[in-house]
Amino acid sequence: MIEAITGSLIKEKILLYLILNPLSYPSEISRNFKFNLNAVQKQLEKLESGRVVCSRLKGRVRLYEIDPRYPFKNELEALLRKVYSFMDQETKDEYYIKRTRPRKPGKPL
Amino acid sequence: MKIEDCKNIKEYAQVVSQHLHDRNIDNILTGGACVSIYTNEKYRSNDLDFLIVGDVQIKKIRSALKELGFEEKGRIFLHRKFEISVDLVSPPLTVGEEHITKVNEIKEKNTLLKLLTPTDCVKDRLAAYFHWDDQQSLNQALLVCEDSEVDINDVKEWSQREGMMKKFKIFEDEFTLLTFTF
Repeated sequence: MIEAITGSLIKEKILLYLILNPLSYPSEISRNFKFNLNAVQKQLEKLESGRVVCSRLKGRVRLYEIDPRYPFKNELEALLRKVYSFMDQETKDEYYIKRTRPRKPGKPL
Repeated sequence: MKIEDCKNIKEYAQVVSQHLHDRNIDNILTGGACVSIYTNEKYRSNDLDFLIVGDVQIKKIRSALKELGFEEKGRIFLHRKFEISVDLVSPPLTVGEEHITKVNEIKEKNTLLKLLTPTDCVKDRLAAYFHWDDQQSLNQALLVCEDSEVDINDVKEWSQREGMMKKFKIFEDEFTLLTFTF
């Protein structure tokens, strides 16, 4: 929806995903959207060098989030939330809503 | 002063900054190196985070840093001989939502080093403490307060605008303990 602004569809989806799911990792994002992992990592690198996102290691996994110190964070979030509001529920459920409540190991889905 | 003669992070910063200025690349030092400078290296950083002012082609910066012995490794420039790195920070110069318009200038040994003021350096560290509970950043902010002149009221007002008064209070309490004299 805002690809013309972000310059890349992957970047648009990554940003929206991170607004809704802070502390996500690259392979999770690539699997979710069926994007190439390298392409996702490259976009995350670009966003990080622009201070839009930041990352930290947890164990061996690098987790990304929108940098809370990014000076345009509120404006960016408002734009992305508007994009999200235009999506149909099916797309939201399939790509952006992640189960975050606990689930016992071994329990069927 | 040559890079080979540098003894501490401040001197490295001065040499790199002046070298860039000589090539019309205006720059401002930010991040942990400012903490090192304001605390006389009680906190040690080997990273020089420079924000480049204005539109400068990366090619020009790359070539200037190469002349000083830096090699580009991913997004960072590492020195071939010394344990020092340069990272280029994207503009604008901000702490949280606040746009920084005034910087400090250290003019020494025929060099000009522009850097965050001690007060903005404290805000910069506190931003990491506010958002990620990073205790190291809180300690660094306190170290700067101990060794440099910091406008605590300004930090307080900024914290209020950032909606972080609860955490500012913790910082303020520790700062009070620090300045309490028997």
